[in-house]
Amino acid sequence: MVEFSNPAGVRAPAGLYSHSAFVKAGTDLIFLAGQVGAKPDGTIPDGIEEQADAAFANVVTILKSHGLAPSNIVKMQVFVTDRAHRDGVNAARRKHLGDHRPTSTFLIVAGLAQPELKIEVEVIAAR
Amino acid sequence: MTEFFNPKPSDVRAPGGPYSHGAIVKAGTDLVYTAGQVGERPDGSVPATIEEQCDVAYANLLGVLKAQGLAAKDVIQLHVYVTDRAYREPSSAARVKYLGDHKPTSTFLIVQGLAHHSLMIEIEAIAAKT
Repeated sequence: MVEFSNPAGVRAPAGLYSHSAFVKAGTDLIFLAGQVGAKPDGTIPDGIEEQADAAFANVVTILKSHGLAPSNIVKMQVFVTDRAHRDGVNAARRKHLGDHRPTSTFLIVAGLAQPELKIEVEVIAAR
Repeated sequence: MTEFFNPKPSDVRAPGGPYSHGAIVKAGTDLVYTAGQVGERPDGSVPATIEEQCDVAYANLLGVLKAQGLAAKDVIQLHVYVTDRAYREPSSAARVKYLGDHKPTSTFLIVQGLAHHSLMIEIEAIAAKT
């Protein structure tokens, strides 16, 4: 079981995340490649809302394929190509992760692997 | 032993390059985290081309791993940062040269800059000692 915590003396998280995650010895770790907003058929939707939806859906599907759920996510990194994508990302994150609060980092980058990509989500999970 | 996996392509699109969607690292496995490695030679010189920088960066990465008794096949997660989209192909070529057919989980990002303006690529890895 992963223990998430937020210490006194550090400003409380401003979003759906935790400042720290304690992973006990004896835990399997699952690393995921960065997931983008590509659907299984290879299509990439235009909008950030749909891309974020597809990217988080990919994360959840990959976890599920090994018996894991969003609640197993320990650490998440979200990369977007525009600050304006933040709301779209948060909506999809809430939809797919519910109120789970892993440690998180949100970054605006100059680009992703293909010009049409707007978001990439990478997670580490534990079981 | 790390288990790399990909869900059914009908569920999640198959990886578009030499990487895996997921890696399971069993409890009790030693992990090695490397700093981001750049295209700087041991003598401090930084080559001017992306091809050479990729070559040096991957050589550095493998050197760091080797010092811990690890090899390319032990890499479970790879982060590649480049400063220009045009560097994707040379970085992929270097990756194949140094990692062969090993397919760790990966993330490729184009960033605004690296620690020094002369740097074009940085590579970071997590490896598992098996």
